[in-house]
This record gives sequence, structure tokens and C-alpha cells, in this order.
Amino acid sequence: MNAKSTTVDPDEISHFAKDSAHWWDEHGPFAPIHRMNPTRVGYLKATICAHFDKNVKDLKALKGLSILDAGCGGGVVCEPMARLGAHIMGIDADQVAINAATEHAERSGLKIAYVCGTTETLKEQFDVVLALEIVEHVADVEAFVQSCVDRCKPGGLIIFSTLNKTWKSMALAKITAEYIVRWVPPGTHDWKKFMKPSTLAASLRRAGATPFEAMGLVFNPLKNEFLLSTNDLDVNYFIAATKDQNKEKSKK
Amino acid sequence: MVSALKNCDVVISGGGVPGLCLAALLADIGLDIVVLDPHLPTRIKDIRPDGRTAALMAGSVNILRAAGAWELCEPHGSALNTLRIIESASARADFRADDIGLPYFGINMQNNLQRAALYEVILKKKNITFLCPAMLKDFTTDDVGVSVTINENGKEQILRTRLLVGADGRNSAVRAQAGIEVRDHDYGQMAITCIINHSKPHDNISTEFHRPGGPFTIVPLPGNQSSIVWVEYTADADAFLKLRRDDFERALQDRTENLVGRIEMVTPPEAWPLKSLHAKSLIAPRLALIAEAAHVLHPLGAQGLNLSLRDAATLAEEIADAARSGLDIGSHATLHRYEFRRRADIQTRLMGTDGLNRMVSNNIGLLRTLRSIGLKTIDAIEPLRRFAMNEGVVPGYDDSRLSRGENL
Repeated sequence: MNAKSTTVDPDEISHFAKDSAHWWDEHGPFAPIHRMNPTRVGYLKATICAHFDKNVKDLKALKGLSILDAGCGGGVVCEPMARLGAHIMGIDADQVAINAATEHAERSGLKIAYVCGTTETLKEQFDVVLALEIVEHVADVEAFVQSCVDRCKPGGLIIFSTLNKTWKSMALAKITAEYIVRWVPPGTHDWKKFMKPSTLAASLRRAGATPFEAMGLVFNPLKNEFLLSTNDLDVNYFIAATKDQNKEKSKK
Repeated sequence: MVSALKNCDVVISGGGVPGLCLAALLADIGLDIVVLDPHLPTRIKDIRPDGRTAALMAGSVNILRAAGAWELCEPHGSALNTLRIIESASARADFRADDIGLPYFGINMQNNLQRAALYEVILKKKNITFLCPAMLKDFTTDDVGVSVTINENGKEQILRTRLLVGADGRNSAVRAQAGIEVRDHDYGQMAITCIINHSKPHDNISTEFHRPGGPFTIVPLPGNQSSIVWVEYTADADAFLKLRRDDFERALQDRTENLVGRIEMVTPPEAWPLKSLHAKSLIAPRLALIAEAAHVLHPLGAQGLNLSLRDAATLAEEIADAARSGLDIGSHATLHRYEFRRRADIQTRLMGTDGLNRMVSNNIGLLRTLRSIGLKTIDAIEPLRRFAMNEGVVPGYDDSRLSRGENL
């Protein structure tokens, strides 16, 4: 871990690291991630396919695309992306998570490049940069968003997901999930770090990307699953953006 | 001797109609499938008359069409346009499919035909390996896959897969080895089946006589041919089965009350005991049960195979959705959704056919009277008729897109 990094919050890392060996236990501390993963990964695939004009029903639809998953944790998004044919790199500041991810991918027969570190240290650029459920855990949001945009090729796709700063997210994602139904360990989220979609969109624009879609991810207790919603962004939401073409040129 | 490890996405133990149907559906989306079965299916050109038949409802027809097998089956089936229930000389009711806006209630055909048609389909698919004669020996599950030891033609080999499907029938070895318990019930009844030719046309009417030992049903097949499903208490059934051919034919003639004219047997009578069974869970880690490995129903109401095909379709949908998102198709998330979607349909069919059988298979005077009144009431009151018919053929708990005629 890079101790001087501006984006890593050491308290956050130590909070996750104590559970990181259990990333792949569907009933363990990361159960909610597994529960939302089918809907989440479905949205990612559909959005990436639409952007790069790929057939969404193809089992290897992401073949030929390079993807960076910033804050990959145990690799629950990296593995689906690898199965779909993408060249994927997962980066996370938590060494325990990277170890769990590397070991799991190896046993599953999947080729994924895992790196322990932060996005600022990377040099290469990717067709797609994913930053899922991570921006609410970093120390310097502006620097983190900038580094994600910098890792994306001009014209490429950047997808963020995070928790909205609303009373509903405080009630559901913080209090209900951590203390009442105990989906996640207490202390997983700091509500002060939650972001409104407009705040995140503004950061992306400043960093040289153009947001084009916001999509809510809503838990439906009757169906016991997460569903996508275009109008309810109150708790979990995605923002998809394209990396601007000219920003890169003006830098050079 | 154990040969080298073979990798695939799904191993399906059991190549009956539901197992082959699942294989055909999954192969179409690009997954690698291995199917094992101890018995080779008959080729379609070698099909002989066989007394085991089933009426396929519209949803099942859609599922078989999606699997690519329906075109081969269709010429051999006969539509059931009217269901006639005869309680006594004075109490009978006709239910017509067009009254509830359906072209038919079901299409009746031999079961071995559907299997043969599906076999033709899977022979053409490069990503399906059909191992036969082959049987599952045992399996070990870990967090990323299953290692399945099989015996193929006397040789042992190990298959490495992400998901094991038990489609291996009522005595499922997959179910037993997974330690999934069953609840079962013996009805003390036998079903006697055979195929008959008859001199009068059946007019696409399926006729069900309610008799004390159980229902006696004439189910249309193409031409002047029908299948007989005769449910009888075990002791009585044994006595009938001991009859000489011409005496048995006479007994049939007697029971059909000359509705279809003179009867001639095409196949000898076969009989098997009627049981109901249901597995306490449809899933275990990296394992799913479908069809009779998960549930066996009383034949009354012709729900069994239709329910089994809906299992295959729903599991295919869940696997397809997971695979298309790059998810682990054997994960608990995937399998849990399959079980969640199937539970209500299976429960209601099990309870429904069980209750129906208790209602009709008896000679209790009061129940007979109530049945007559009930039948007359249902027959006379139009909304009740529609409700009764709709419940039987358009299952309220079926949410399979394949059975609605949509694509996988």
C-alpha cells in the first residue's frame, strides 16, 4: 500500500481487511454485494455493450475490451468481466482482498491481473474504467475521480456507483443495513462520505468526462432482489460517463 | 481406471425429456454440456406405439419449440379440445378450450417421442456431449466447482463442472448423494396404460370417467387411436392385469361405455404404482434438481411432465441470465432464484392433484353426491367453469418466459 497516497483512507482499509478473506462467501460479510451483483453486473454489461456496439446476449461479448476495476475488493466484478472475455485489471489498496481475489481467480481458471495499489500509480489506459462502491471510501474524492478518468482512453466509458446522500440512504444503507438487518458489519459506511449524483457528476465533468446516464439500484423486499430504476436514485446509484476526446489532446 | 479430467459448464445426470430439453436450451446460448444416461433414446424413425403418453399444455409446447424439438413432435400429437368428465349417467360436464380462448387444452402424444425428438436435436449440437450408457458414481463439491465421477461403459472418469443437475428421475442418485430428503406417499393405486384403436372418432375429446378405484381416461391420439389411463386400486389392478388379452379388451370395452365404438388393443397393458414424492429442497451447493428427481405427481390432471418442463425452462433461464452476465452459474445466487421461482408452482400442483385424487377416487356416498352437484354447478355457472379450466391449464405461478413463447 502506498502510504503517501491521497486517495487511500487507512481506517477504511483496516475496516475491510479484517473481513477480506471472506470475500467469496455468499453468506458472509459481503453477502449484500453478492446479492446485488447479478443486477449490478447485468447493468455494467448492458452499458458496456451499448457503448461499444456489442451483442449483449453473447457469452463473450466483452472480448477485445480492456477494463480497469478500481477498488476491486475480492474480484466479484472482475471475474464476471473476465468470463465475458474482457482483459481485466483489478486494483485495490487492501492486500488481503487482492490475495483472496488472486487465489479465487486462479482456482476458477480465470485470467485477471490483480494489483495492490492505487489508481494514481497506474500508467496504462483502458477502454472502460469501473469504480464501484469505492468513491464513498476514499480520502480525496476529487483526486480519485481524476485518476479514474485519466486511466480511461478518450471516448472510453467510465462507470461509478455509490450511495446517495439522502435521508433514505442514511435510514436504509447505514442504519438498517449495518445495525438492524446486519447485512454489513457496523462501520462499513460513513454517511458523511455519501455523494449526491449531481456532486459526483460535477467531479467527473471537472476531471474531463461527460456523464450521460444515472441509474438507481433499488432493493425490492418482495422479490428479494435488487432492480434497476431510472427514477429512484435515492440510495444506490450508477453514473455512466464518456471520457472526453479533446481533454487528452489539450494536455499534450 | 480413471481417465483425464474433462471440463464443462453443466453436467446433467439423466437424459429423459426434461434433461435433454435443458441441455438443448443451454447449448443454444453457447454453454458446454455433458448429459449422462444409462439408456440410449430411440431414434425417431424407430418409434413404436407405447402406452406412456402425456398431454402437453401450450406452455410445454412453447418450451419444446424453443428447444428445437417441437416440429418433430407435432405430427404425432393430437389436440385435446374438450375435456369431458362423466361422474354418472346423469352427471357429466364438458369443458371446451375455446370457451376460455385457447386453441386446445393440451396435445397428447407418446413420451418416448418427445425424447426421440430432443435426441435428434442434441445430436446436431457440437457443445453437447451425450455419454451413454453412463451413470453418476459420486461427486465432490468445492467453492468453485464440482468434480463428478461417472461410470461410462465400465470405465470411470471425472468430469469437472460448475453445476450438476439431477434430472435422474424419481430414484435420483444425485438427490440421494446430496442428502436431500423426500416426502413421499403411496396412493395404493396403479395406473394401467395402453394404446387402443377404436371404430368411432374421438372428436378430440378427452373423456374421464370417475370410478371408485380412480379415474378412467380415454385420451385422443392422431386418427382413430387413443391412449388409456386407467387408475385402479392395486389389488383390483393386479386382477385385471392377469386377464387374457381378449378378456382385458372386453373389460376396456365395458369401461369405455361404447363411447368410441369397438376397441382393439395396440399395445399390451402396462402398469405402475402411483406415488407422490417431493424433495424438501430443489437445490444444494452447485446442484439443482429438476423434474421427477424433485417431484412425482399423481397422473390425474396431467400435470407431471408439464411441471417438469417448466423446471427445465426456469433453470435454463436462470443459468442463461447468469452466464450472460458472466456470473458463476453454479453460485447460490443463481440456484436460489431457481428454487424461489419454482416453489409455489410445484407446491400447488402437488397439493392440487393430491386433493383431486382424494376427491374422485372413492365411493363414499356423500362425496359422490357432492361431486355430482359440484360438477353440475361448475358446468352450469360460466365464471366457475372458466376459473376451473384456467387453473388447470394456465398455471398462475408459472413465470417462465420460455413457456410464454418468448426467447431464452
